[in-house]
Amino acid sequence: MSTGLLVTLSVVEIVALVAVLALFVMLITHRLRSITNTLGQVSGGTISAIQGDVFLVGAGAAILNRKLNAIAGALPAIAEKAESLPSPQTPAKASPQTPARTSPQTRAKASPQAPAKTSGSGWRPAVGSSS
Amino acid sequence: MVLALATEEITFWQATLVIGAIVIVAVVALLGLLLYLVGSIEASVRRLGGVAQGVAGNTANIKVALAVADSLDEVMAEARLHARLLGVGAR
Repeated sequence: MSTGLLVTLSVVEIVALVAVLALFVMLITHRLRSITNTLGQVSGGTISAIQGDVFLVGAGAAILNRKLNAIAGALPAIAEKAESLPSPQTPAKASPQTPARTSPQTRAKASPQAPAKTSGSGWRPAVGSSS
Repeated sequence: MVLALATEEITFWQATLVIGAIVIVAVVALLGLLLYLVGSIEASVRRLGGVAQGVAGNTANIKVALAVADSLDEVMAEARLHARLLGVGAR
């Protein structure tokens, strides 16, 4: 092998090494920049929005708990008092002209599909009836 | 100018060239692995961005959910009214 060929091969090898290094550095830099942009968007916009929304939970949960505890403390006494009231025993006057003035018992007899309880733990307002 | 090299020197040069080629191949392999790993990180970061946007969409409804606190005032006022009408000691 001649000396000139050895020199040429050495130069080619050095150039190839530098080119490979430069190529990979450029590719990796491009991808790292993309990662930087994506993380900047996530941390700057999205995470900040989440942080602002979740901050309201900490402040709002205490308010909600306080109000709900106050309501829960007041309702049992009201419910007991309401259940101890005598149920209205008005005579049933079946008047087709004034159906809205009939008693709940009359309405319950008139519509057996939807029995309406007026008191008790299982009381539910009659669907479609105004109080 | 003609360089006169001995046979041993030419052999050493050739061995150096072969080692250099092997080094280049190793560098390409390692940098390719590094590029693959960075690409994997990039894909994960993109997925993270998508998930974070979904979470942000969900947490945006917290303001709507917390609006129920205003309704609780009305519920409490109604409970006080019922308590007063029923003769229960209102709190």
